[in-house]
Amino acid sequence: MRNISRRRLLQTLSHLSVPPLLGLTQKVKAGAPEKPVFFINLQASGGWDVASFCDPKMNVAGEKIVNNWAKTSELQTAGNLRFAPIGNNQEFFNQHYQKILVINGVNARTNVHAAGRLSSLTGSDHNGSPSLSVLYAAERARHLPMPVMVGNSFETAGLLAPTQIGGNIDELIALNRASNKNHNLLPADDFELLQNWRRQSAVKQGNDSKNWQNYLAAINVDDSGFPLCLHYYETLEQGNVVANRVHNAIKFALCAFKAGLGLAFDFSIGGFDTHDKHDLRMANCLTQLTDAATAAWFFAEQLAIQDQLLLMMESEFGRTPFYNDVAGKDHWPYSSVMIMKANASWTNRVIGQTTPDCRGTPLDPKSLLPSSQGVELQPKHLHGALRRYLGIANGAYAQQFPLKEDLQYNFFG
Amino acid sequence: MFTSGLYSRVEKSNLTLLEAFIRENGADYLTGKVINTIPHGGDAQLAADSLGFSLLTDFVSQVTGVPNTKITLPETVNENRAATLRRASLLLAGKIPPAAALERMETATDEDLRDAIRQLMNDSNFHNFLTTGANDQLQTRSLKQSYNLSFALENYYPWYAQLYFETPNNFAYLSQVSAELAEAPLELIAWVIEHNRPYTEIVTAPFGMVSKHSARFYETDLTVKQGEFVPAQNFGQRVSNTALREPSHNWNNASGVAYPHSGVLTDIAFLQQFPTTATNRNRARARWTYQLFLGVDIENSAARNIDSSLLTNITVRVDSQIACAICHERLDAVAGAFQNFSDRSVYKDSSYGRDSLAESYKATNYYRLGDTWYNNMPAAGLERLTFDTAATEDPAQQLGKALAADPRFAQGAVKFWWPAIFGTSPESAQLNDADNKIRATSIAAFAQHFREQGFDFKTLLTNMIMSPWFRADPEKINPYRQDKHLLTPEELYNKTASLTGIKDPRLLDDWNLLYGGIDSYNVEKRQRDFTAMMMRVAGRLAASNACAMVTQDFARPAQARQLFTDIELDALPDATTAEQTLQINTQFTKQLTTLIERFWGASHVSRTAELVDLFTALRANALSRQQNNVQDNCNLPAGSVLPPEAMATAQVNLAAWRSLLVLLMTDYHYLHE
Repeated sequence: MRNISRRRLLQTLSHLSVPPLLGLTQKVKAGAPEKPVFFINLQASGGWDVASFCDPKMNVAGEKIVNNWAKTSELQTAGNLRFAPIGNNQEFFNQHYQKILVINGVNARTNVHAAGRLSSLTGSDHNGSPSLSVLYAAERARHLPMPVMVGNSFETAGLLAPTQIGGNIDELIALNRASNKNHNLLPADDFELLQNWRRQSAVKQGNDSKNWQNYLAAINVDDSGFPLCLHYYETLEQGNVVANRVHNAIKFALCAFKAGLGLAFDFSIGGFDTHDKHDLRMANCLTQLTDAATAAWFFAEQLAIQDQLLLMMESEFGRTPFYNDVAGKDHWPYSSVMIMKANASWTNRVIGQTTPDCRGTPLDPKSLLPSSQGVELQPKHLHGALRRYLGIANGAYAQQFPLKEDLQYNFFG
Repeated sequence: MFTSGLYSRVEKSNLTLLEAFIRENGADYLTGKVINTIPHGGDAQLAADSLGFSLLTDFVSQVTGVPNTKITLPETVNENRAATLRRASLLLAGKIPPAAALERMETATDEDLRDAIRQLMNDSNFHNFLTTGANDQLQTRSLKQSYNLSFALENYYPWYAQLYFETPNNFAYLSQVSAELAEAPLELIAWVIEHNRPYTEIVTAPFGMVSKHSARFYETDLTVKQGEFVPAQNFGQRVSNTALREPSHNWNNASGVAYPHSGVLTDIAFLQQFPTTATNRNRARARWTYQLFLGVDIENSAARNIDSSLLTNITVRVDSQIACAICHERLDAVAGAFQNFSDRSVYKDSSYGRDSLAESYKATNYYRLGDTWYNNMPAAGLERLTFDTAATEDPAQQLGKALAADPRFAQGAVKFWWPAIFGTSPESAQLNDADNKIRATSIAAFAQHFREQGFDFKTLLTNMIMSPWFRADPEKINPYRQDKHLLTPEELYNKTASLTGIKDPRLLDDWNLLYGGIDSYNVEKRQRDFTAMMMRVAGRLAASNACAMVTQDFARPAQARQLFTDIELDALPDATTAEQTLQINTQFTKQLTTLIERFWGASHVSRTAELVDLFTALRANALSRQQNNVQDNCNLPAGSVLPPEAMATAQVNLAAWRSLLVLLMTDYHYLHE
């Protein structure tokens, strides 16, 4: 048996010393902001058409049609933002523009799904890099039961184990209650004895292997927030939010945030790869995406964590500024990123410009205005700025996965 | 020999020349020239121990499919044979072997172990291992949720349409059909393996697999029971004889087709999994053909960070001058092999059954009547091979044969099955170069033997299980197996059922995703790292089933029990002064040792003393509850026949055994093997 190292043992024992539930504010690692940021990333999987969303384009006479909607409609505005009048965009932008930062002209530098997905999630084009949510959770919330929750895809780089959200979670909340909730599954004294026994036994016989450490973390974690999470989940008003897989997952993640169980959530919404029948399909997908974001804010406000929520929407790349032969739009490297935060000084704002045919322009890193002194924005610039905003840029894990930014941008000043 | 230039066309041309040279002259010729062990009139160009030479030998190994003999695989200490048999049995047969079978391994040889592993492949549960492992790669079980084929079936299969519309609950019918079709390609792979056919037939078999419903609407004249699959040809598809595309407009003016089967490649569930469009043009099918059958991740095979001026100047046909072409020229040719299978996964679905081209393309000047592939795309083929689209054999069938003959096919098979066997990825960005080289060398060695054995899959599987990748003792530092393997939901379900007789479907349904499983629809990638949520699942499963496990087992005659073979429920431990300080006698100790062996494996019997203490504590809890009339919801089965004085003891023991089982089933060594 390989012996557990002293360092590992101390790490393990530190799990045991977590105090009872006091709310996440008290639980986060020393040095973190007093009120931690809860991070949600919604990925538009397949490549979204930002010309039909947050970087709207009108058609240019004599050029290829960029958008069919632009034949009869004008682009719309909400605050300082412009948007395309399709799907649910109007309702979404009107409701949330004060929380939205739009960054246009982000060059994915690829038309390949896997590569675009990797760089949009991680800011890097190196396989094996962690997504921002994983990196953030690894730096700030390793000791929580579900530091990062995921729906669909994930890039962990082995930093921590994500919790896949899906399926029937109710019975897993009050762990020792029978399904009919009339009695305990195990007598309370046995249940407590087993928990303590398991922990003590594991520490005695453990080793340094990754699986063992994951197990050790799982049995030692302070999971006293689960009942609170269930309470929130069951008592939140549903309002106009449809109870579907996407919204339920978001609702659960937010309740888990509030209950001190986790800090980040990655979810992808598919269907954006609209090589045919683009207009209808993209409108439907964007509606799903914006509805998901609206649901997140609706629940966050009820939980009184809206000021702590940072919500990002991104995609692996954009779509062509013209239609193909089957009314679809193909892959296009230029895209946008949307970041939402309540009561922030840097929202209700658009950064970055694209040409009428959806090509990016270099931006000055200080003024954030078009300039030959700058470079075209890439995912690495976005992720670099987000790492700094979240306070993890100099963390040990972030240092393992450098972004190689040629210029540093600050979108949140 | 080589030409210079910046563009991919030059790179590709040079690469093709180099690969041909290596294939024609053998692996050692080029490498020998480079380090001057084969004289070439000049000095050595690279030192034999240099990084450059190491990279070159890796490349040569990839081209030839011959293991890189310049890398010596490290030796390691294997676990004992009984431990290997235990894990192999759980993996392949879904059960923990009987104690006697494990005891026999103590005096067995490696050959005996090989035979025992091979025997496991005769178990009925081996089929589930094959279909689940295959689905982890093909993901066709997505069809159970997507119902993607409903349009194709309704409009191109008259018997399906009739049965669908005749069935009162036609959604239930569609669900059953979708579930059946989702399994067909997985069943085909299993059939090839179970019938000891050369594994290459998974891409060349001149048939597909049918079951109850598909046997009817494929018009096979076979009667097949639900849940069974048999090989058959698809005679059920029609094509239109008119200008209207779908034959459903007039089934009487439609023709049958000679469906060109080529194993999994032409299976409609496989085709729908990788949908195509007028601009995608089968490229997803081609990309996954490379990945699944040749082990080549083409999206990661070249630099992907590309100048946007190139990316924004592309057309549907990727120009050979641009950097994208280094992958696309290979990809697009394979895409052409699927030319007769439409975006609907239907064979020649256009009007008059001529082709499967996009209607939009036919409106362009590129199109000529009679074309079956896009004139502005490379001809169908596989790298150096170009397929004869005028031949009787469909291009997809030619692709199947080309894949089977490709030196990379064997490596593709090893990589395909690697995660199912070892629970890890065959390639990992988290590994350092040295570890990845060891992995690549092992894969090439497995593949070479696989080829030499005529693509005998069961031998490959046995070799992989006998290798240190499966057998290395994780307690000893080694580059192969550093950890026990976290059981998948399916494996944990099988293990629990095998040991206790209790089958709790929640693990495979409600909690499948939470426990790291996949549904092939929303989640395609297994979560192999244990989480707090998984602990809750394991704890819940154990706590909610432990009472039934104990009572059911004790209800059996002693010789028929699975768990409590060494003790009776009303056995009274030896007491010295009081119950609180009781000494467990040898009977109890033996029973605890047996449980450890069964649940955790024989290497953990040293923890018996720990469990003795725990059992003592649990028994004390139970006694205390009994004395204080505290309700315990685990009771003796109604009608238990015990003397009145034994009832109280039995109730205390039952409660203690119940809770002890919970600990056993939530321990690291139960959840990992």
